[in-house]
Amino acid sequence: MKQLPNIEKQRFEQLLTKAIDGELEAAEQVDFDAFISRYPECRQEWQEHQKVKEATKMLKFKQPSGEVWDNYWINIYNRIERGVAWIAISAGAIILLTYALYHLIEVLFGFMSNPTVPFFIKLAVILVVGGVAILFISVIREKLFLQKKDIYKEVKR
Amino acid sequence: MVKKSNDKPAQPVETDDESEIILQCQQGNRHAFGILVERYKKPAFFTALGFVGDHDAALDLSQEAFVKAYRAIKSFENGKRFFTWYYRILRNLCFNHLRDSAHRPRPFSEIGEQALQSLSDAEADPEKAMESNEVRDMVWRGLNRLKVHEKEIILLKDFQDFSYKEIAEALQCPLGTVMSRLYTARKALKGELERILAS
Repeated sequence: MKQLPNIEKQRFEQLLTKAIDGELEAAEQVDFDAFISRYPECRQEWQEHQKVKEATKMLKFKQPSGEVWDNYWINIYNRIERGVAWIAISAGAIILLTYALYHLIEVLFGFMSNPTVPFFIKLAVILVVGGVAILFISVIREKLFLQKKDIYKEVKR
Repeated sequence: MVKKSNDKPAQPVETDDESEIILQCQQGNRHAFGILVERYKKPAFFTALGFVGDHDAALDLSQEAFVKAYRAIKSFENGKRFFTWYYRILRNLCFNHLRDSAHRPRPFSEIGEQALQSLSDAEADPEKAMESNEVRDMVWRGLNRLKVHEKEIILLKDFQDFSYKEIAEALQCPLGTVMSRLYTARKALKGELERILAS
């Protein structure tokens, strides 16, 4: 029994794929016929691949209800519109928060420079503000830098 | 609530030419984008369904991909095929969905057309129909055991009927690679089917 030489394998694989998909041109068909008549292993592989193709062709997905198709564009339109709304809300919120932060800092400076406020109250304010700042920076740092180095991020949970 | 004028691509774009429609999308015409959605919603949905094997997730992912495509439409190189560009957005979303969660495709009996449903009572040969249902379930299980890239190329060729050229464009690889990947994927599927049959 003749064995398909390694050097011809790649050529046969391409022709086989094209044959299965009905894309062989006339000259290629001649080559392909030569392969399957000369090498029994080629003929067997061709028959096996045909069966696989027939099996995959049997699969047909269920059509969703007509309502799904009717509402398809509406849902996308709504998402696009809501996306614009979220951008507007986020932009407005950022401006308001920045303004509030500016005033908070202003108030804090006024509070800290007030000579009637006892020293231990000022110290407490510094500790609270400092603690919040450290927490904030720590969380941001974790999100931005540490996540990139997470060696387990590709692990499926 | 959406206004009546928004629920369909009501403002007709007076052309069937895809490049012209895309040009109008790039100029901010949402109705033109609606035409693209109407044109490609079915292949989009079924592509996602093939990947994730769940109707609700497929609907959500295919729509989300359209939203992303709309936002990025200005970067689309006009002259290329819209669907192959959109496909890349969709496949990334599907891959992320599969990676980020423990979602597993549902059995084919839940998402596929069953032979028993499609045959009329007069013609139905229940035994034959049951047999073909079993084969479908088996092929679906086999497909889901493949590597995601192997499954992808079979879905593109055998379910979506993409040409080799379209697959090459969608996967951004040469034609020869498409053929060799298809060969490998079918061979792997054959192996999986044999294993399923043996068990």
